[in-house]
Amino acid sequence: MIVYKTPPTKQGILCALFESFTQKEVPNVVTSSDFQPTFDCVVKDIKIDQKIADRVEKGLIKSGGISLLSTLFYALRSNDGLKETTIFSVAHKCLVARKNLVTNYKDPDMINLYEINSRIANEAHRLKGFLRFEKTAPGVWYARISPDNDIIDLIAPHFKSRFPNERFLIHDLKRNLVCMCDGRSLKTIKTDQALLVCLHQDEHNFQSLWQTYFDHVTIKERFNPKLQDTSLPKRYRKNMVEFAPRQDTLEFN
Amino acid sequence: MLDAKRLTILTESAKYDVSCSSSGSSRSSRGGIGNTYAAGICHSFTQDGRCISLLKILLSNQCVYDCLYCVNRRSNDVPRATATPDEICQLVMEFYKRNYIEGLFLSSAVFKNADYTMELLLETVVRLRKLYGFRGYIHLKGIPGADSLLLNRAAHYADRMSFNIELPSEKSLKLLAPQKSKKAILAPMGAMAEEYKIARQEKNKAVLPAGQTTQMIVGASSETDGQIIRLSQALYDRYSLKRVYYSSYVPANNQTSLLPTTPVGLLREHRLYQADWLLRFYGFSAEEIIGSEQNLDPALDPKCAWALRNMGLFPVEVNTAPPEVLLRVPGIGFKSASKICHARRFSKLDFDDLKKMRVVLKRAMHFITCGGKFYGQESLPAVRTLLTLNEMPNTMEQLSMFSSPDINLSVLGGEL
Ligand code: SF4
Repeated sequence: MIVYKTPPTKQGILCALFESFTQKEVPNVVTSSDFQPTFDCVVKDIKIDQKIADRVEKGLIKSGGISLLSTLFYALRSNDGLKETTIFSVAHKCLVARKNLVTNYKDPDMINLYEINSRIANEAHRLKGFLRFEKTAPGVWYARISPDNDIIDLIAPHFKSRFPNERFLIHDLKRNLVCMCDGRSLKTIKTDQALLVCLHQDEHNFQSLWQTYFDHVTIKERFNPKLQDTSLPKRYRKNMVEFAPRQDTLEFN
Repeated sequence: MLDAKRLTILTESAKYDVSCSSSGSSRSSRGGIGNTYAAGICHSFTQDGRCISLLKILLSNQCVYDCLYCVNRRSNDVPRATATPDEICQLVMEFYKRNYIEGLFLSSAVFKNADYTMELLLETVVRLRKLYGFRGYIHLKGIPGADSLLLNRAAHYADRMSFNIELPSEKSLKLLAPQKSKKAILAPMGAMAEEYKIARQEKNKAVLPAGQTTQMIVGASSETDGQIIRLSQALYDRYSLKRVYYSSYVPANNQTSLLPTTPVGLLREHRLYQADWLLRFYGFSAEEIIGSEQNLDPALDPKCAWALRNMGLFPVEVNTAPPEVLLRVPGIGFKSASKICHARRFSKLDFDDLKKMRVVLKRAMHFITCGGKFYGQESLPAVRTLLTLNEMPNTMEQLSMFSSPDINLSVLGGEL
């Protein structure tokens, strides 16, 4: 069994492809995570070389066009442990066939890639709705997210064009990424520090009004929490104010 | 600012209107704040499993009318409240900036009279667009009987307007909503459709970019599914509606023998939505869906029911059937049809390939061949029994998807 170890990047995969073609071998697994080698297994660390990566990239474009590149590397955002192997296999097959095979769904690799990409796109779409901003004392908007896939770059432009001139931060708590918008451009940085957020004095009032709205718009006769769970999986709720404990005990009937 | 108490009242009295979709409009934030997104976006889901996309609220629940099925009817003893246009605007802006909502769905009870109410609604949307620079989604309910000038002006500010049919026949309207008439509801719908058509001819996309919708209450009166589906088809054809919503009747504290005392099962509403979906996206006619029956078969989804009545058209060969024929196969929806059409360009597909592509074979296998091979049951009664059995465990799952808005419906389309 042959295992290629490579960073989870476009460059990494492209260099792995090069290795495979020059060595005339097809790895069983391509991975970025630590692999527990068994006795019959050869693990190769793939060397990264930008020039080689560029060459392979050109080859891919020649085989399947620019759209092949974007379909392949869109999948890098996935949390699927097999993503590198899948991207690698699809790319390998397209290079061999000299054509774009991603819609040849008879092939399990193509179906896997399709499904990985659909999960990313679906989650990005969901989070455009589920993300919640809080107003901080200095007037900057702050949102926490913990998505399964690394989708911050897919959603931030949506908020930038929706709220022109607003300054905001989107914080991916799982990956310690913060995407910042100063009202004009977006920038994402990695930070391991906890962010100290001081909320604006109005914030509590609007959060509690939203909770009030949320509670009262439910039709109790049609209570159906199972349906709610499929549409809005529990893992997203920790960052959503309507699922936070109610602070006002005052109830109106 | 609107306080929690009035917000509660105005929400409680708005929630039975089922439409909440924010789809069909696509506008940038140029010069203001907010934009719209063609597919619509769900922001949350309540415990009844419905999506929250828009802030759905009444300007006032103080009604001079007395429609028997409605919580807000004059004779009902419920707390009343009214908001000012500016209070609504402020709340929309604050909720929108926090990304709680895609926009506003504003409606109102008939407060004083139809014109007065419509003026207030219009003032709210004009204010929101002009003063607050809001470019997000606005769905505005038209008040039947209001001056047509007011309604036409509103159409220039809203993304979508709706006049609710409420009940599927004139007879039921007379009985249950004595102050409303079919004419008073259909006339403005017709006028809007006209306004919309003219604007499109002039390439003016600013008038109702997301068109018109309507809603009917199902189960408060005695109409059959057949009557309802034929009415929907006529509405789609004649008024170019984007969507008809069906809301199963929920008893709202009514003390009258004219209305049922228990809510209608969700299954009926679900079947109607499936039928409606076939009308709008799958090229079926009311005639095909309901045939000579009075009601949809509760045990089968309408596409299966249609296929069983038309076994002569099947099986079709997946490797050669045109897309529109594939779409008529039970178990094959938009997603699987598209996957099939792509994949068969590379090589012939067999049964296992379809399984990998997640075609719902339990249903589809009785209606297709793969490379000439047939894997289903030949006998009609056997197919019917199998399809009915398959349906049972699925129904709840699907019900859930159907009560959510467009985006999930399109996912569901994959299985219908
Ligand atoms: S007009 Fe009829 S349906 Fe509308 S709020 Fe008044 S009572 Fe209810």
